[in-house]
Amino acid sequence: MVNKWWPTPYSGLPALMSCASLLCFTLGMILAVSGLSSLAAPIVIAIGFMAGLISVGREVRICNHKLILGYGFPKAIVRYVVEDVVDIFDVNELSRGKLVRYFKYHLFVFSLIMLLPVIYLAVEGLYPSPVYLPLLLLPVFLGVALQLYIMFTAESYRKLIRRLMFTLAIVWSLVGFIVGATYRELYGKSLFSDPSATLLYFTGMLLLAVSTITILALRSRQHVIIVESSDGRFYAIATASPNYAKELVKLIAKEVMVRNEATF
Amino acid sequence: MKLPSRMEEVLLLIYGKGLREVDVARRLNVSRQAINRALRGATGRLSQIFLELAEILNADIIRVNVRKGYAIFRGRQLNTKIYAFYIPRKGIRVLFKNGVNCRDEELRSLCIDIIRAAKEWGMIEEEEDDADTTLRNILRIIEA
Repeated sequence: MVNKWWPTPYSGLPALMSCASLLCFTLGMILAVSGLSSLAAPIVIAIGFMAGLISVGREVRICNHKLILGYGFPKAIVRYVVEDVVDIFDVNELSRGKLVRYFKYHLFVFSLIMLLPVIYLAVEGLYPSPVYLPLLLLPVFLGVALQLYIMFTAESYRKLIRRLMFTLAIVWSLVGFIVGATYRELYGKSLFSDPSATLLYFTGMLLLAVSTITILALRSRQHVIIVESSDGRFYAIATASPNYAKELVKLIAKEVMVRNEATF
Repeated sequence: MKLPSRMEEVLLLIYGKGLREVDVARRLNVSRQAINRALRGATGRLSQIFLELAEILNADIIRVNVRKGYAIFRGRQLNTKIYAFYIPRKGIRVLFKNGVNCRDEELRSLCIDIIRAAKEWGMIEEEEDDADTTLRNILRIIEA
């Protein structure tokens, strides 16, 4: 069953776990490609995987006028109870609504995962083999996609994606050309004459294309609801469609924000 | 559609002026718990007002902000944005997007009310010379 809405790991411990996961995957990828240590790479990737599982948004519940957000997979192990909601909005519907305004430090992490492979490439070049280039570029593309997502308003992001697809096609062709040319220069033969190198190259390119397009496309469809509690903390909930977003905003406003308290 | 005056006062002192609950309690000569209850009651009542307004306007809710006393809706039939402001001591005032020219005689008082409310709620500190510009700034603030 597809969930109508789920919490996104933009704040608190799930945000830390999600950032740690992205960083571990990037470092693991660099370690694996560089061949510096045969043991460190799987360990770092496994840590990233575990951190990623903890940050998965699992449940959004409303119980006794409280909003409960659960994170973790397969079971929710981190829960946030939000009681005093003072602001709720669908950020996609606001003409100047940008996620970066509420979750600034994500920009730093997305920049870091984008920069680490670039630094490695600047220091080591295409060592040990140019066929690893698509794999090394994976965090760079993800970092760019995620950065654009939180920095742009929903409307600008949708417009940008249409133009970005053309740019991506050119960049990927360029990556293919660089890999092929460097391989020929290093080994004096065509990349396609070596089946294992070809397989590695195509796997990398496929991963690069699929993950970038998936992130860009999915993020352009989902709506994000932001909830602010009276202590000034922000929580984000993603919804599968605009209609589910409307339903959730109304539900939280009605069930969590409306209370009948005695007064003096 | 108005809040009781005492609730309104607490809400504006805490969220508009940024006073602490304990200072408001001292100023109004009541306990801190009473202020806390009044604040929760006021935010709850204000949310209820905005929800009822959404029903009356046949609109979907985009934003409800009880800290600054406003809400944004989207009308289901005309698909246009509607802004609702809680004006202290007067109640709710509604503004349709692109529907206000503050130079218009009939709409001038609405503009003045909204600008005054934005100042009381602490959304803006100073107003521009031109009411239209001030109103546009307020809309920019609540759309971010």
